[in-house]
Amino acid sequence: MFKYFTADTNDQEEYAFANGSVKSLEKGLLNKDILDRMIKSGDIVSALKILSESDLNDYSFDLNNPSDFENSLNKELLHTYDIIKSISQVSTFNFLYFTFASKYDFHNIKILIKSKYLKKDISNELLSPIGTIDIEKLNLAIKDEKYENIPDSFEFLIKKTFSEYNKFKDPEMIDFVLDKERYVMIFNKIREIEIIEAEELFLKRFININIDLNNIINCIRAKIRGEKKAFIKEFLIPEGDFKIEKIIEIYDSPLSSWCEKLIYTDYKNIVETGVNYFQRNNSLMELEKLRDNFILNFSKIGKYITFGIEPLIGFITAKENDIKNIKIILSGKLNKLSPDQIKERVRDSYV
Amino acid sequence: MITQGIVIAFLGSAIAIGLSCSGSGMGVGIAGAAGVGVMIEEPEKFGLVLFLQAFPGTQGIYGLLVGFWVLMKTGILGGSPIPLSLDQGCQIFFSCIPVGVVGFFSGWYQGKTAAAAIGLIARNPGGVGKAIVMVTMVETYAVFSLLASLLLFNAITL
Repeated sequence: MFKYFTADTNDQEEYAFANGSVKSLEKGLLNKDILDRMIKSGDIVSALKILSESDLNDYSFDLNNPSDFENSLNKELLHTYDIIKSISQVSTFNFLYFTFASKYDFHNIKILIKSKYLKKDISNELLSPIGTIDIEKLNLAIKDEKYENIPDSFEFLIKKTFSEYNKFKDPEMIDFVLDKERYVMIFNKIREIEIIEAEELFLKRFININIDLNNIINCIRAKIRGEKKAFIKEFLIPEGDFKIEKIIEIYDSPLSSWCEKLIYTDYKNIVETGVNYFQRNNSLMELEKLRDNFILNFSKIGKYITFGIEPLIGFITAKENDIKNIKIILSGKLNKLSPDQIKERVRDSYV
Repeated sequence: MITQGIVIAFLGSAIAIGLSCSGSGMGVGIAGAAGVGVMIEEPEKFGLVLFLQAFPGTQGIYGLLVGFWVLMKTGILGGSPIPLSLDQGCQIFFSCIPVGVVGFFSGWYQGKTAAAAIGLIARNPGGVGKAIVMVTMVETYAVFSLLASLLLFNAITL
């Protein structure tokens, strides 16, 4: 009984502060109404005006140079991550920060390794400043193979990516290897930290859903590329809820029949609709949209929880989703896509 | 003269004050942490946050009221305690239990509700009325326990 009191009250004190911050940050998230008005607006400047004139004071754009919206959105994302970092005082929150921010480390590593092998200079705009490791240090490690300033775990994965690339000489291999290594690193970290059972359930489920969807989409990509079963075995991430043996088992059957094999899983509709769309339009756009919506809808539980990591996970997912939606709408406006075409690409909203 | 009854009455007073103030401390702490989190982004909400944070503090006041009344009525506060029998001491002790125990739990849980209410006003300042109603619902039971303690204590013949 006393143990229960201590654990419960201590955790709440830790959560209360971060959750309070997140609740007030949630006010800046985009709702469906704003998204619809932006989609229906005549051009990129009107869309930006709708965003700037709404109650959301998070975004600031240079209306004289509307095509520079990416820069403003990246700044906003960086600002969000700075806030999350500043309120992540507890070990679980630090881990949470790593889980989300490491995505940008891996993005940077992918770009730097590709630029090294493809011998192409890249502009700094392609690299994200959000990651947990400084870009310069990563650059030094990848270009000059000087690993003194980066953690050992990153040194190991960069060397592994080099050797895998040298084996296959295929740039897409870099993506496959690094996608897998990211989750391996997250699971190694999760074993290092002490988290209470209720947190662990949600956190693990969230990561597992990401892994499952990553595995399924990577398999569909590999299938479309005509890869052999042996190839996917190497790069499937084993920690997901949906066992990789089952994916390997269905790999050789035609894509259209995959949804029948996934009938008892949560992912049946995603695969069915996504594959149908691919067969009609030769694009994985719908599959990626359904994946993002599935993860966002799972994170929505954070809206109803007062104390815990759920509101933080929900908020980060929602903010990234908002920024993705704004980019889709503004790029659509810039490329003169019709409102219907833009609407087809836009993800659900968290609010 | 210090009798066994006086010692038990002391214990009752200590429980009324100690438990209810602990509950209030925990509740105010939880609501305060949530409030500080909100004020990082919106310092202008200090007034509303403070108002909601103060709610779980009332249990401590109720406990203090009962505790002091016990100390006064038994003459402990004046320095000349009434020589209470063991029965009377036990009666006083049990009359202090409602405000102590209920104060502890209601203060703690009201703190949680207040933190959730602070989250609500952070997202939607217009919801402050509803937030206050929710927090006040927990208060009801603290008031009942105060009433129970007072009635029980009043029924004791000293």
